[in-house]
Formats: sequence, C-alpha cells, structure tokens
Amino acid sequence: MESRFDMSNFERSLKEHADRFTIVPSERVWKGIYNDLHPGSKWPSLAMGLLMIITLFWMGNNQKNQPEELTAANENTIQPVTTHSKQSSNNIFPENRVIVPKTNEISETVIKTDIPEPGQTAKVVAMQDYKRSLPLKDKAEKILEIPVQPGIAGNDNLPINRKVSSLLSEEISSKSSLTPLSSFVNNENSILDFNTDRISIVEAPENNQDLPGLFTNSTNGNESLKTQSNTTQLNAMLKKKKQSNLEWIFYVAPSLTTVHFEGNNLNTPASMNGNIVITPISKHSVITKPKFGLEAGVDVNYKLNEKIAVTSGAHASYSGYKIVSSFVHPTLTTVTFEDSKGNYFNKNYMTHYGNGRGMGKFMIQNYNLQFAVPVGLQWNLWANDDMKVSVVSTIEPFLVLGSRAYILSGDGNNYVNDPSLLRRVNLNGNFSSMFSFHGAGVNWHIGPNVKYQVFSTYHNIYPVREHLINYEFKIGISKRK
Amino acid sequence: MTEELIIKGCRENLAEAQEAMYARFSPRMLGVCYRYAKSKEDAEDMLQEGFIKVYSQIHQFKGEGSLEGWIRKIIVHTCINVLKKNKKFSDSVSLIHAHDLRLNEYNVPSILQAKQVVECIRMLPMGYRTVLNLYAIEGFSHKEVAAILDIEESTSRSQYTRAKAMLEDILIKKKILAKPRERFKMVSGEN
Repeated sequence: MESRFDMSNFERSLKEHADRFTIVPSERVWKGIYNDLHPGSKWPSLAMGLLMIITLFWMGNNQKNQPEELTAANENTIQPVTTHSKQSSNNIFPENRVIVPKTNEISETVIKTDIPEPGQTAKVVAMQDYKRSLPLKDKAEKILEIPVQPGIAGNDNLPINRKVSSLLSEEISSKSSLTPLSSFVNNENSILDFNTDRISIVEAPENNQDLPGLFTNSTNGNESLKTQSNTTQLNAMLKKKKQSNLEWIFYVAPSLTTVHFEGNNLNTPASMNGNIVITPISKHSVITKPKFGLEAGVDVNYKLNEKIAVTSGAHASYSGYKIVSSFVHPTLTTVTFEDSKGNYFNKNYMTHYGNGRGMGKFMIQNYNLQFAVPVGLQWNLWANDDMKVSVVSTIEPFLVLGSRAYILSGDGNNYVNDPSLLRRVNLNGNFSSMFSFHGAGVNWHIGPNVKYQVFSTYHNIYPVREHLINYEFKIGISKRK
Repeated sequence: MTEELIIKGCRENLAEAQEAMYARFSPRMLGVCYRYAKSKEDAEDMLQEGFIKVYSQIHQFKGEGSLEGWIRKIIVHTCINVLKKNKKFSDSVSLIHAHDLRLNEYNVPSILQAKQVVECIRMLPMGYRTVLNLYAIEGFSHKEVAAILDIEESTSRSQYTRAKAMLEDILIKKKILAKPRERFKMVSGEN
C-alpha cells in the first residue's frame, strides 16, 4: 500500500484531494467503540441499582409475610373456635387444631398432642400459628415440661381441658406467660387425651417482642376475658405495625434546569507559539436559558420510627438547558484540555455552531436522560390523621442513558459537541419537602425538590465545570391504608 | 498527548489514550470510509468496526511506518470486508445521478474542494469506486486490488480504466477539472 511509484498526475492529484477530506464522526461512533472496549465499566452502577431493587423487593416481601392474617377485622370479638383432627404423616402424632374462623383474621391456633401409650409421657404443642409457612417444630424454641399430678387425668368430674388449663396456669405464671394457650385449652371442644403424668409444652419463640400481646400476662381467674383483652391488644398493635412500615409512592415531577459554569477556558492560538491562553469563563461566555424537563419514578419509604423513614426507589428523568448559538459556515475549531498530569492537549472539531453573538441566532440544547436510584432519609416534621409534612434528603447515583453537551471552543467563538467528554455515571443530591394528604381514595404527596449534580457533567480533562441545578415539583400518589 | 504515549496507553487499554487516538485520526479515517460507503451512516459503522480492530490489534503495531498508515490499512480492509458482505460490485450508477448533487460553485476553501472530489468519487458505481479507491488513492497495485476483491487482475485494470474515464467526466461537469481533456489537472484553491 502506498508503495506504487507509477502514479500519474491524475491519481496523485486525486489522492491529495481525497486525503485532505475529513468528516467529524457523530457521537454514536465513539460511544459504540467505548462500550465495546470497556463493557465492564457499566457494571458497578448496574450492580448497585440491581442491589437496591433487590433490597426493596426483599423489604416489601418481608413485610408482606408479616402476620397479615393476625390483623383483626373486628378487634373486640373473638369468634367461637372449632376443632378438627388431622393425622400427621407418620400417624404417630395426630394434630388437634383449634381453628379460629378467618372472619376474625386470626390464623389457626394449633394444639397438638401425641397419644402416648399408658404410662408414657404426653406432649402438648400449643401456639399461635402466626407464621403459617414455617413447620410447627421450627417455631418452637424450647420445651416446657410440666409435671401432671397423678389422678388429674382421671378426674371425670371436670373436662380434661379445664384440668390442663388449671395446671398450665400455675406453671406458666412462674416461668413465662401463655395466656392464649390457656384460652385455647380451656375450650371444651378441644380434644386432649391425658392418661399420663407429664405434659410437655413447646413454647413459642421468645423473640416476639413485637407481638407482646401473645405471650404476656400470666393468667389466673377469668381466663377468657384476659385472652380477649390480650388478643384485642395484639391485633391493634399488629394493625398499627403493618400500617406504618412500607409505602410506595409513584410520582411525576416537572422540572426546570439551570446551569452555571466555573473554571477556565484554555486556548492555544497559533500566534502564541503553543502557549496557553487562560480565560476565566463567566456568565457572559455561555448564554444559557432554562429548559423544562420531566422525572418519573417510584419512591419507597420504609419507616424506622414515627419520625424517620429510609427512602429509596428508582426513577428516570430528562432534563437540560438551552444555549444561545448562531449558525456559521463549517469551521475547524480547537478545544484545549488538561490531563491529570497537567499536560495540555488539543482536539480539533468541525462545527457550524457559533457563540450566539452573530446573526441568525438559534438555540442548541444540552440534555441528559438518566436513570437514578436514590437513597436517603425522610424526616416527618408534623403529622395528624389526615396530613403529614416531611422533608427528604437523598443522594442518587445515576447512569446517563443518553445526552448531548455542547462545549465552548478554546477561542470562545464556537460550540462543539463531544460525547466522549461526558461522564457516564454521576451523583445527584436532593432536598425536598413533602406535603401528604388523603384525597380521591389515595394518599397524595406533593412538594418541591431541589436537585444538584455533584460532579461536573464532563470528565476532569475539560477545565470548565458545569453546575446543574434542577428545580422540580413532585406530584405523587400512594395507596391509602 | 504524543503518539508514543497514545500507542502505549492503547496497549494498556486506557480509555484516555484510546480516546486521544480516536480524536486524532477518526475524522480522516471517516473520510476514507466515506469514499467506500453508500452513506455517512454506513461509513460510521465501518469506522466503528475498524477502530475496534485497531485497538484490539494495537499490540501488532511494531512502529514500522506511521501509525496513521497502519490505522488506515486496517480501516480500508474493514471497509472492503463490509462491502464484500453486501457485495454489489456489479451495480451500475448512472451519471444522471450527478445532476442531483448540489455543489457550491463559489470560491470555496480547499477542504470543500476535497469534499467535492470525494463526492464525485462517490457517484461512481460501487465496483468502479472500490477499484479506483484502492488503486488510485490507497496505492495498491492491480495485482493487490485483484487479491483483495477476489477478482481477476485484468478485471481490476478494466474497471479502473472505466472508473477513471467516468470520474473525469464528472469532474469536468462539475468544473473541478479545468477544461475537457486537459487531463488530470485539478482546479482548486491550492493547485
């Protein structure tokens, strides 16, 4: 190639002309090359986003598995219980289940006994099956062993359940409290067969501090009343707990973007023999105008306590601003950059966008399409049953899905577009205040949000820093509980 | 950034060096691709594919000859390979198409003169254009052109002769050649 020496004038001239011909590629070419060469650079942000989403789903799912069925529809009444027997798979331990009807939204309570041979130890398992998905044995943490006085099982004047109840009340009051248990074994329909001198009780997990009504208050006297009271207390607490934890807010937010620049414009004019001319950039260097944008997404709030909630979510947004430009004939222009070692280098661009000071003014637009995963905290300032006022502060790593950013040439006369200068991952800081209220069957959340882009839009080699601020107004809805 | 630093950085897969190389050579290389392609979009696809090859084969660059020449060689071969995938060398493009081209007739800088010449080349049928590009501009011999395009050497010669005559006519019509049959002397700002 290029080694043939028999070129005629025509070919030589043709080659000279053809070799002088250059075209500036569009931004998609370098993007395509870059993505091909550095496919892994997307993974940190994608992995982080994925992690956040998985966390949210986990939180949501975990919350969903809470004792929804324990939430009472009617807190003041307990429906009569019924029982049925179910033979277990090995036919050794038949289960006697005391079922509280679903209308009460209380899960079935299991009283399980084994039928021992005469003279052997019997076992009673009684507990609220508030985690239905778990095997019964996994819910138990320890076994209470209660000696049964000889002859108690054989006293035919009292129903067997009463006998057991009396026995349990005395024993449990000195160790741990199992009021509901007493209640259920009090039920005369329960089938308990005791021809033994010992009863073993599998006690429910101890770590149910969030279900205090279930295993508190020792019993004596009127068991049924206490049980009813405790169950009411339990249901109220569970209902309250369920209401308070997780909230999904779907929102849109019109936005207005403003920008200001900071730094120096570098120029290497031919007349300066390679010396750099440094010109501080000012508001007069680049004339910009705000532009409307839009953000849409979902916020997820996880309430830690009455005042503070962790907030996260995901959203996509489009924002940008306008630059006053003017049309010029295609011009070769230069932008000077500074690398991390302080070395200057130039890049040449072909452009037909002037700096807006000539005739034929028009607007060019810098825009940014991004996907973000915010993480932060929400403080509830004031609330009553119908309204709430809160402030939210978040940071949000975001991935730039698409963008265009014209920059000023070194001599300040033109704008050029160079997508390779743009950061692909950046960080926003948000601060918003939110007013929440009920209406039309949903909860409404409205309020202003100020978003500041933490890092410049451009890589550090470009000596001008862009400060972007988005002013948004969020309008969101969430399900009314 | 010097050429040595660019090469070293590209060998270490540094994005900054790759970007510097791209910024330095891509406009000229896109000009090369543009002569082979049907459209600018196709040319950009060729350029993208070519530069990916450049970066992946940068370890093979021994510093013998210029970096630009080495890159150009890869880009040209990429263009030919793309053309071969969509082989339409037998396509004929009528000279009537030349009337559709709007050219500025006023005193234009040399860069636009070069553009006019390239646009005239692009009016040629694909087969003619490819042979002319390889022989007249890239400097391959007919034997090399024949090998590259999988055609007979005589075919390369005959296609080049026809391409050259057709291009002359176009250049004359566009007043890029000074007068009919005053052969091979371009009228440009510099010549």
